[in-house]
Amino acid sequence: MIEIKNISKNFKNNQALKNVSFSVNNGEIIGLLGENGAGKSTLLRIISTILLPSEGSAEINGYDILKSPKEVRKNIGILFGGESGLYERLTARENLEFFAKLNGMSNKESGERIKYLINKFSFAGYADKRVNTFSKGMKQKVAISRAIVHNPSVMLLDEPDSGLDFKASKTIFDFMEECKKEGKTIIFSSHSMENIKNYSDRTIVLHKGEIIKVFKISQYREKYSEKEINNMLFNLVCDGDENV
Amino acid sequence: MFKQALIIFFKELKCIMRDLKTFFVGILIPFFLVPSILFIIGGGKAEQYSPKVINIAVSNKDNSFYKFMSAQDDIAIIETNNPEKFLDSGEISSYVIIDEHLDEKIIKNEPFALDIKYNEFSVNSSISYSLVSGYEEAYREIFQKYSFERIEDLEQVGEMKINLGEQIDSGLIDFGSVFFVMFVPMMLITYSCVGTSTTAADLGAGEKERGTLEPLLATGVERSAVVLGKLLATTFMGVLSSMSTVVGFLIYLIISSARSVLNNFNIMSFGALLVAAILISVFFAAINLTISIYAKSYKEAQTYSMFIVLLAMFPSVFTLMMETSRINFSYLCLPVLNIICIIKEILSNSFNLLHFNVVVGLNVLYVFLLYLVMFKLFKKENIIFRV
Ligand SMILES: Nc1ncnc2c1ncn2[C@@H]1O[C@H](COP(=O)(O)OP(=O)(O)OP(=O)(O)O)[C@@H](O)[C@H]1O
Ligand SMILES: [Mg+2]
Repeated sequence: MIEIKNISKNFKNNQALKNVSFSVNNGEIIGLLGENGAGKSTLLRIISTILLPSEGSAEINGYDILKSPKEVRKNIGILFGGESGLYERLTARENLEFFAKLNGMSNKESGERIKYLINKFSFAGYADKRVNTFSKGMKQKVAISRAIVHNPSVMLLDEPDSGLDFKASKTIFDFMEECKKEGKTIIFSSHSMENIKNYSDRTIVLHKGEIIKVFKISQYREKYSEKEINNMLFNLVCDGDENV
Repeated sequence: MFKQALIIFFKELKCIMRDLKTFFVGILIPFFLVPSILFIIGGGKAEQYSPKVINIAVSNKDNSFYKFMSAQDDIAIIETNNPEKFLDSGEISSYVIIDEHLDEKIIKNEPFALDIKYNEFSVNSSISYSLVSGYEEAYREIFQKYSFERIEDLEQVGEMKINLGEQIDSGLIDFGSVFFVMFVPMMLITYSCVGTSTTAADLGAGEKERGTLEPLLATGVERSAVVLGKLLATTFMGVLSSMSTVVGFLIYLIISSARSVLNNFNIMSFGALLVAAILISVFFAAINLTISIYAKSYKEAQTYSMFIVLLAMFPSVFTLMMETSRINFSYLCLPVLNIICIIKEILSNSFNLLHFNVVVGLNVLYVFLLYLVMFKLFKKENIIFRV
């Protein structure tokens, strides 16, 4: 359960988020759509307590990000966009073990969970190799596993599909659907229109730091063709054109 | 918090040990650097200190000086008709022209001549000259102390064994430990600073640059534990590199000649040195880590750290020749300088418990203050996530 209340974020000379509010229920997947620099990553960073909002606040499973950041961190798992943020000199497994330990998991718990994730995202072949030898997609799979190693009930995934091949990408999204069935709360961002359309229950469009649209894709599918939908989304994302 | 700090500490060590660059700069280079420099500049000297037999020739054998020299274990008298040529070729290192009427002049108490020739272009010959002239002096001293009535009495002189070589050798061992006391503080300071700077740059700014800090801080881990874990790892590397410098130096002393340094340098003083190395390392670790957390990039952190290394060289050069008796209270209050003072006291056997406690206490205070600064920096998002 995520409740975002009037969040704004100012950096030195620009406003990255303007008065953003929305909420996400348990068992719901939210897709974040927006051009480069729209504020998607900034929003996810604020929810994960890595950045402080300039105004407003948010609650994760009832914990306020400003008042009890520690509880919030225990409840979330976050995948950051951009660099994988893995320790290059450690193996995939060592990376996962390190984060499991920091999250207070016992050796037995983490051993089982890591085994499960390695199988789920099929990287048994290189689980014990050092990360600096991995391709971008290989790193991405490990980074996602690392983000959710402690089995958090809220998952924030910034561009989880970046660098992944079709199969790996499908695996990730299928996994997200499974998590959704377990009642988990998920927000992901993506630049892939297809993935947003196929996997989000609701889509939030950010433009220059503002929410300009919240919609369910099923609403449109009844009235418009796939091509028309794509055109509308394109105008929405790129020009902030709300007339759809 | 301590448990989390330890988890981070061990993870950092694992990463450091897998990075050959840090390993080389931090441990192998300090281990070999000082000994190899000393071997290169002091190569000849190391040979000089080891006692060995010196070959000489004399102009005539029928006198008491010849007998005196023959009695010495470290002198061998070589027979030759062409001493000049032997000097040039290095077969002998000195040639002594002995007064033709030596023994008669001694009996009559008249001045006599002993002329030592050596090869000025040969290091070995020049060095052995000092030994031979040492014997000449010793020989002359005999006649200042005792007077001899008859030429037959001079036979006794031929039985006097002095073995100057051994005495000179033990004098040089003292020189070795003086050298040790002089340079060890400087090496500890320099290398604990250099050794911590690479690690600190990596663990602070480097981690920012690689984007690994965000995931770390998004876990339930306390920021104070992150800082502590990194401080411990950086300190550990500082201790390793400064101690490997000292061990490298010790090994040099042992194999180069100064055997009895081992007697002067026991487990206790090694332990005391270790404490001092930990102190100085934790201090530099804290400074370098603070810089690194503040810096935008690995490079920037390294640049700032170079300044610190240069600054740290000052007090160590300034105190190179300082006697421990000159240590006063104001020295004990200044960072770095105060640790140099106690290292000197430890090494020159004038350990002062009060000084030691004051310095340990002050350094704990400095490090604690720096720890608070780091913790504050870690909470500022514009420092931790500046782009
Ligand atoms: N640490 C920072 N300091 C200053 N400005 C920042 C910082 N992080 C982000 N910004 C600015 O905030 C705005 C939003 O950036 P953000 O990274 O959230 O965009 P995004 O939607 O994730 O873009 P992308 O699709 O490229 O990942 C941008 O204008 C960016 O320049
Ligand atoms: Mg982004």
